[in-house]
Amino acid sequence: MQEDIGQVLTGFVMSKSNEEKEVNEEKIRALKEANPRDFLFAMIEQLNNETLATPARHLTGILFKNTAKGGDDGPLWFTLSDDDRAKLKEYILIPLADEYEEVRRSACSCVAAVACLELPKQMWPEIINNLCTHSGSEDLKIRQSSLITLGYICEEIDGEVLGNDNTNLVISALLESLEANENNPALMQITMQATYHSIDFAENIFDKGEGSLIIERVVKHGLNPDEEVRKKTMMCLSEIIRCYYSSVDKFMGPISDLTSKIIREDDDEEVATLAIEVWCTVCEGEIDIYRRKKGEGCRNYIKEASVDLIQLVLWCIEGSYVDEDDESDNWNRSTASGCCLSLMAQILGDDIIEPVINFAGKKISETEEWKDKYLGLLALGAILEGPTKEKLMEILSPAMNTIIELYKFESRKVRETVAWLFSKIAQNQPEIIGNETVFPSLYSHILDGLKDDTRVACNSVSIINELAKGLKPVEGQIGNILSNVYQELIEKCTECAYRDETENVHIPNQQNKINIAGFDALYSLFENAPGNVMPLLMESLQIFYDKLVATYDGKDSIDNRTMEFQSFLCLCLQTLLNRIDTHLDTVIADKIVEVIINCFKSRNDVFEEGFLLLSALCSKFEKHIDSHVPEIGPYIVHALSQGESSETIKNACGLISDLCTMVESHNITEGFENYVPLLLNNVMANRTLQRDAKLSAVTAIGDTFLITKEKFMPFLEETLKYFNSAAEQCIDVNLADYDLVEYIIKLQGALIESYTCIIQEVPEAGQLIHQTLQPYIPGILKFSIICVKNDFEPTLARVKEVAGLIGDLISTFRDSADFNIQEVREIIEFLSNQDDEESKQISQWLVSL
Amino acid sequence: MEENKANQERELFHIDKTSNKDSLKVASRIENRTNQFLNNKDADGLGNNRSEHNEASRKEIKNNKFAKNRNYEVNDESDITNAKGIPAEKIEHTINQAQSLWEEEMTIMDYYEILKNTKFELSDFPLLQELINSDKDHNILLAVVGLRKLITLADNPPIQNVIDTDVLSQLITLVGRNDIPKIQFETLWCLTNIAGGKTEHVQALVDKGTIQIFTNLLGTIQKNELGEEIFHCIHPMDIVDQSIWALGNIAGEHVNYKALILKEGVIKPLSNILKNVEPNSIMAKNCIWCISNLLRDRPFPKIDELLYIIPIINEFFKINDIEEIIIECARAISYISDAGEQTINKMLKLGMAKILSLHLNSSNVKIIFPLVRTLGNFVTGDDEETQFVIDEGVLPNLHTLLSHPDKVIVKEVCWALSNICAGTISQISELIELGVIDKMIDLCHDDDHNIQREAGWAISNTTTLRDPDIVSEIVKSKGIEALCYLLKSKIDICTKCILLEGIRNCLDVGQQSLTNEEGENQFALIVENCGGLDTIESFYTHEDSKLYKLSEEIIDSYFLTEVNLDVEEDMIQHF
Repeated sequence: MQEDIGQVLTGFVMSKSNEEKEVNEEKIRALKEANPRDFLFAMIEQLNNETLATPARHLTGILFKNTAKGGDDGPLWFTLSDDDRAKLKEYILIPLADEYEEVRRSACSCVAAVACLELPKQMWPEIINNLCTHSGSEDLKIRQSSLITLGYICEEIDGEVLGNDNTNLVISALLESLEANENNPALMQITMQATYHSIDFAENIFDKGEGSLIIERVVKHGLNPDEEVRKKTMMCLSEIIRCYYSSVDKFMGPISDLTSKIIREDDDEEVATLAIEVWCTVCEGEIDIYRRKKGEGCRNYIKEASVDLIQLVLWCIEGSYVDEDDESDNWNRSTASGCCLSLMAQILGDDIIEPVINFAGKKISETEEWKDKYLGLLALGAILEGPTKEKLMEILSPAMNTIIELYKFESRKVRETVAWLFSKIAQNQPEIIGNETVFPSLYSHILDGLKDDTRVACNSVSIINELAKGLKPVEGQIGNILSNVYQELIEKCTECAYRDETENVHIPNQQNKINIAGFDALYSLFENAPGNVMPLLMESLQIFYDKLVATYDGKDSIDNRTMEFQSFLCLCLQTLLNRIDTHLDTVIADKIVEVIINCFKSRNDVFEEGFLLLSALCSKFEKHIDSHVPEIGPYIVHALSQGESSETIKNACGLISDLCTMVESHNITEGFENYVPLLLNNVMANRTLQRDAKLSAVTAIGDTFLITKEKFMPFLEETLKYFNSAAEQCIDVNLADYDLVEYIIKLQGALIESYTCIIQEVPEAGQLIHQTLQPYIPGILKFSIICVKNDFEPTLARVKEVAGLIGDLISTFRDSADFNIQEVREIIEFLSNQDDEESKQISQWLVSL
Repeated sequence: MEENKANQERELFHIDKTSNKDSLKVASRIENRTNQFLNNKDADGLGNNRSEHNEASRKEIKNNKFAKNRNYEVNDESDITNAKGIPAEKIEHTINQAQSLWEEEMTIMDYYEILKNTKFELSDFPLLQELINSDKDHNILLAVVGLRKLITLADNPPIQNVIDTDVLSQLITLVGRNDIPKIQFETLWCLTNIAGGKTEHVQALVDKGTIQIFTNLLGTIQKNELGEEIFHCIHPMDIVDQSIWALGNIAGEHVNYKALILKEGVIKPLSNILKNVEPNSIMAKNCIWCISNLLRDRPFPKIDELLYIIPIINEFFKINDIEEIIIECARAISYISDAGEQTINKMLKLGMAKILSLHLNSSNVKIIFPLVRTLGNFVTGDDEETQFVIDEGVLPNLHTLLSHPDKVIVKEVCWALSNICAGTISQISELIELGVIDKMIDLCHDDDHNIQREAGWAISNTTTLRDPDIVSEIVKSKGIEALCYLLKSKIDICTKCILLEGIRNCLDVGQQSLTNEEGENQFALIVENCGGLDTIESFYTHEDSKLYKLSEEIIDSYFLTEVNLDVEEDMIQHF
């Protein structure tokens, strides 16, 4: 059998055709599934098999790692016996000293993977110490492997898991390596990389004020001859400042000297740009402190360094290399400096204006070089967020005509940037251009811009988009300056939305950029349409309906681009339906339902935007949609059983909710057996789905109960079990995991809502439902109380929801649980002390029960 | 080789996707930022934004529906019960049921369950009044549960009826029914709510001697054969909890009641309960709330009681982290620190200055305020104690708080720091080095009078020692200008005198050691140039004698020659 594996692996690596590869892959899979334990041992043996080709050995490492980490119920690794694991751990350490680097690296990832599995369970405590000791080994191969492995572990593991002692070990090992490997670029890169990944869990070291040594050692290598090392050094510095802003005070001087030197003198563009990034991080840290803590604890490094820093960044903008024909948005020195300047503007406000205006004014007016104009405009566009409107108005107004004229400049890059500048103004201070003085002369240029090169057009359409979003109605009038040209705006944006750039643009994912921009502008125009253009929206409804029909009418099959357009057009109709506030004939609803179903048919699949549009119809036409439920139903089932994207499933669930609550569909009660099992087994029990879709499924089930009542009985028991296991997830939550906590809070909301739906309907759903629910009541009560625990920082609204649910439980299940408990009294007392009427009412209502 | 790479990403050979941590890492942050800067949009964002709208409107519809089903207007109670299908037990039915079941040896707990589900109405009050005097335990239980339900009604609870009909006396007797804990518990619950009522309700309770009853339920301190004080409590936790709650309510009503409670010696039993209570529990919250009510304002507990509770509160503060508890605990600590030298000394020895200062960066003003007050009290002692507090590292935190958005906090911090400003040369120098003094000089120009006042005192205090180095620093930071500015503003006379003393101290230092080549007192020039001299002169006619004398003294000692010279010059020019 071992012979077999070696051959199969070699065969896979050497395969000449895809078919051959698939055959070998299948063989490997079969071996793995036949006996995962033996497979792991075989992989390690092959990794150590020096007669095997290096690529094949490399592959065995990956297979080992994926197999160990994989498994249906938790990692397969932990299904092995203690003995097996101990042996395997012994074996994977051997190739760390292998002759070939490829093999060593593969082994490193295996060791790291196993360490990351075991360390959280306190199972392989000595590995960190081992690696740290060997990171100073005389044998360079071992030294390299140890450092790479430490780097992998640092990258993946959580600081808390490692614990203070191990963290200290790792950091001191890395600090020593930073000294010891100074003259070995390859090792230095690896060490700096590992250091970079270790920064965020050196918290206790920085807290104790012992971060100095780390910063000192890192800063020291900022001028290392190897550019990779310098890059990683800059990344480390950014990371240190991001994590420990308040601890770097002593080092801001040296960091500042080092970064300015690099920005001014480094030959490597990327190193210089990463040095700018260090300052961007300082900016972001300070902006965050002002936003969240009103500036408390801000050291104002940016303010203090502002004079020099502005000059440095402007110097950088001025000296950056710009390719006039570059079509990508690559990150380079000029955009990075622009970003940095824009962040500084948010901190410095009006103080940034003067030096930048001087620079921009000189660049724009003193030469006719495209590059100078470009850089001047870039600097100007960077400082629009931060300074006051008055000050911006004051300095931009006199220059406005000069800038508008540049819309006609021969260089595309300049036209593109002028349009970008105006879109930035529209985004931050729309009134500056959306007024009687500027807009009329700017408008014709925008229209020309829409027909210009893609990139100019994208930015031009973005001006319209931002103005539509940002301009408020003129005082005393219904509309604003756009109202008079609304029809033309819609037409022109539609043209952009339909522009075909596949021939002109050569970067694949940018070919539809102008279409996206066009549609996005249309959405904004529709959504923010002033009251006096309603007839126009009615017209648009018809126009975009026709366009949607045209996507499939008379075609046998449709291509990807058309599918994408179907999605965009559905969103157009959705936005229009939401905005139109006049009465619409139900014929329109019937026609739109038909066209959506035809879209589904045309591509033999469902898509999320189709469901969104159906939801919009539900809220607009309510009961009328019921007659269409038999046609729509099969597509909901299709989405839940075969839908590929989480978004599609989520929106299908949303549609179910709308049919149950807004349409109050009678027909749902006839067909819900078809989808409820899917909600339970395909959506709620699905491991790979994004969590959000599950929330929608929970809600959809509650809503279904609302209208099916006693008919829901066959699914009730299973539903309650699913809900119960979801509720249990809310008990021991790792509060440090913010994403998880955020999700759990949403999950609690969905469950409270659905439980409420069910409990409130019990009196009407009959005795059988009542009896089935009874044993679950104490669990539901317990869950409700957990939801208002301080851990989750419950909002007042959440407390009310919970109080409501508890009240409903008492009303119907008085005998099924002890409601006279301190926690419930606490909730009542809390609500009775609130100022709003509703809280008081709920608390009184609860007391009365 | 390239082809192999692509293939490895198939399921079996997938290379791990980047870990979550990476979303925070440099590369992805750069990408986000650049996209934002360049106004880049992608197709994914388009649909997501648009489904949010749906979710919000769904939620609203649902909430309205729920509220409608609940029918919060509770006046018409039959409406709710009918709507829900299952009516609550009617009281007559419960009584009958009890009668028959009781005789069949139903347990008291089962009966209690029935009672909890029984609906009581105000009109049942006469019946309850009758039953509470019954000789049958189940009737008594029914009566106390019923009364409790009525008394805890949010709207118009019949507390006055309970007092007027003297049901209260019977309730108080029933507190002793520890043979049936549920009667005891429900009775206490009634009394707790009466204690939370109006002043006359609380007075009625106090008149009936309930304070002693509640206190006894907390447990007692007894001396064992070794003379050690041992805490005994035989009562169930829910009973103790209710008693604490009642005492807290009574203590919070009026300081006289508080004094009565303290006389019963409750501090030591409460301390023991606090010591053993489960951290962050509701009982912990009630207990610290009650203690804080008892410590607030004079009279204070006896000094040995205070010294007894200090280490316990100190431990309690460390192991609880619920915000509400921390707030009450911080308040209690600050009240203790108001009690004087001995308590402060004990608190300092426990290292509390350091522990408290760690909480100064809390985002909750309710926590910060009492802590700053406490630290301020800590530094009212002698220089040695003050130095001890400084050595605990409180200054940087206090310094930061000088920029706190809440003016009340800033004022309190200024007050605390002004005590340190009256300290030794090295203490003041440390404040200068930290930039605290600079900040307080700025604060003299604040628009809040209370802050101005405290800051002015603080600055003036620093000059008391007339140390040339310190005074020079103060002057360099425009301290004289600040004092003169304050002198002009609307501020009380006492403070004006303090400010004048500060100015005089500065002038004195200027006179002694810092005259310029022409022999002029440079600091006097500053006072004159910032308009301070005019203000001081204007006090000549002031009715307050201290103010008048001080200003006269200043002018005489440091300005007189100058003024005369001015006059002479004037005369020469005129004639």
